[in-house]
Parts: sequence; C-alpha cells; structure tokens
Amino acid sequence: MTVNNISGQQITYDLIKKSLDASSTRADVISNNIANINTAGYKRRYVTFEDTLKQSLDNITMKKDNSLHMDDGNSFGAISVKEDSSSSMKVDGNNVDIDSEMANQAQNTLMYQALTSQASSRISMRRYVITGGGN
Amino acid sequence: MGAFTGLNISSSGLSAERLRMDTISSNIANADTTRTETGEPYRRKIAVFQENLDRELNSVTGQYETKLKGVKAVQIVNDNSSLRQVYDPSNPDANAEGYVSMPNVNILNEMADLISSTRAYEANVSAINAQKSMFSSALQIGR
Amino acid sequence: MNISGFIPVDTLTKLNSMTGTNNTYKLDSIVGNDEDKSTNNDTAIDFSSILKDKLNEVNDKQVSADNMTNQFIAGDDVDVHQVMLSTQEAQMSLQLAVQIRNKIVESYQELNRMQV
Repeated sequence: MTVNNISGQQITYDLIKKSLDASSTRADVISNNIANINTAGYKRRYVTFEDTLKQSLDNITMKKDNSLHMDDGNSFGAISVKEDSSSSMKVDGNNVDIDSEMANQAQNTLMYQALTSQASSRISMRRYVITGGGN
Repeated sequence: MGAFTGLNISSSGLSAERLRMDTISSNIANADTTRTETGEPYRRKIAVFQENLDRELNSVTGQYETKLKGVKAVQIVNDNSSLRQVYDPSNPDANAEGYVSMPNVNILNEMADLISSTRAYEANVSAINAQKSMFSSALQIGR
Repeated sequence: MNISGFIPVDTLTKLNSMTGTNNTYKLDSIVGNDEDKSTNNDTAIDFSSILKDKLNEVNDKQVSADNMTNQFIAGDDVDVHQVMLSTQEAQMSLQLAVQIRNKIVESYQELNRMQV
C-alpha cells in the first residue's frame, strides 16, 4: 500500500510553507534595502519566487501520478535574491526608492500574515479530524 | 535567513542613520568655528556608509552565499572642498589680507540632509515593526 | 517502540487461523524476525511493516522538530514559522499515532471478547 497520488491538499500545504519561506526572505531583503537608503552606489535587491513558481505549478498539477518528494518544496521553484542594477537619478548611484520599499514591505507583511493564518486553519482542520471532533 | 536577521539589519540601519545625524549636528554646531585643535578652521564632516555583507561558503551546496547584514559606517571623512573666505579684519583669526577662512558648512544643505536622515530612520523603525508583526503572527500558528 | 509489545503473539495466531491459508499476517516479522524477508509473500499487505514505517516517520517528525528548535535557540538559519510548523506537525503526527494505537487496542480487546 504505497501512496503515489499526492493530494491537492498536500500540494497546497507544501506551497504555503514554501511561500512563507519566500515571504520571510523578502522581508529581510526589503529591510536591507531600507537600511542602505543612504549608501552611495548601493543597488537594491529583490526576491524572485512567484515567477518560477507559476511554471513549476503547471508541471506539478498535471503529473498527479508521480511520487514527488515534496518534503523541502524545491519542486516549486527556487527562492533567489537578485540585484537590480538599473541606474538611478540620484548623484550617489543609489537606486533605492523609499516609497516603493515601504509599499512592498506592507504588502509582504500582509501576505505573510495571510499565509500563517491559512497554515493555521489547515492544521486545525486536520487536528479536528484526528481527534474525531471531540477533545 | 535566520529568525532575527531582519531585525539586525534594520538596527544596523538605525545606528548608521543616528551616526549621520550626529555628524550633521556637529556640522551645524560648528558652522562658525574658525579654530579647532589643529589650528585649522572646522571642516564639514561626512559619514561614509557601506553595505555590510558576509560571503560564506555554504557547506551543503558548496557555493558562496551572501548574507545580508544591513549597513555599516566605515569612515567619517572631512569634506575637502574649499573653505569660505569672509572679509573680517577685526577677527583674531584673520590672515594678512583681513580674510577669515570659515567652515565649508552650508546650513541649508545640512538641514536637507537632516530631514532625509530622519526619514530614513523612520523607515527603518517601520521595517522593525513589520518584522515584529510577522514574527507575532507566526507564533499564532496552531493556536 | 516495540510493536510486539502491544499485539501479543497468540492473537495473531487466532487471526491467521481465521483467514485460513491466506496468511496475510506475517507472524515472523511482528515478533522481530526480519532476516527471512526473501521468503515472504511480497504482494501481500504487510500491516506490521506499514505500522513500523509510519511510526518511524512519526519519530522522524519529532526529531526534526527538536532539531529545528535547537537550531533556533543556537541562532542558526531557521525561521520562526519553520519552527512553529514543524512542532505543530510533530504534535499532530503523534496525536494520530496515539489514536491509531487506541483503535488497535480496542479492536484487540474486542477480539478477546469473542467466543471461539
């Protein structure tokens, strides 16, 4: 009795975990950009995850019969920190825009909170099933 | 990234901005100082920042990874642009022609720098608050 | 965790005799005699080895939750949500294992009450 079909629920749960990792990394990178707002020559950094995610998500949902190792979620797409080397208007070569960083940070914080609440509800649902709806 | 990396990064930003504000305050306070310990007039000071990075070898993947650590102030340098020459023969520090070398501090520029530094400081504080709220919501998982 | 501790050998003899010659319950592997795997019927469902594997997985989850917590305390590279999720998962796995154990014990007691 082996389980070959990874259920849709399991895929979503693993995706939530991976997305939490990406969101947490992104928060650190945004903090780094904000800390270096007045550093001459600093180029802002950003995190890519969602664009590689879209591609791999199609592959995952189509191949339902493969036994995929979802433990570390790396089949979803890598989380990578990149540098945005575009030139800037400022004399010191710094291309950090404080307003866009603050906006990104607000968005990222909300995303993280939404994801933790999702993860939490899924855990409660499973716990409910395990304890048979009782204690 | 470790659990408190973001907080450490933001706190490095706070320290750097505070240092910059102190430099600016010193410039403003010494805008008319014609004589320092070295005998020279006061020269405007600039705080130089640099991104604080760590490149370490990841034992698992065998590749170099950059660990972000925010910002560090590497130096406080003197602004070597020319000093203002003001004609004031009655000043004890006047030279033979009656000109006094005044510090190269422009109050308006210093005020503008102070505002930008304050804004950066507040942005770092809001980054810390964002990290804290993320941390608290993670602690609620499973409750 | 020794499985033979809570499924006594004589109950399994009863089960084997009830299912006739179908011998789906591997008596040997349950009392811990694992060397003879080659002569076992591979296509039969081996309840005890499934149970053993799943209990090992439960144990792995506990161990990984402990490791994450230790790394977090030591200041290593783990995030707080990873620690929380791994401890929650470990707790749920353990709860599930305990519920399964309860059901197995209940069914064993049920079997014992049967008039043979």
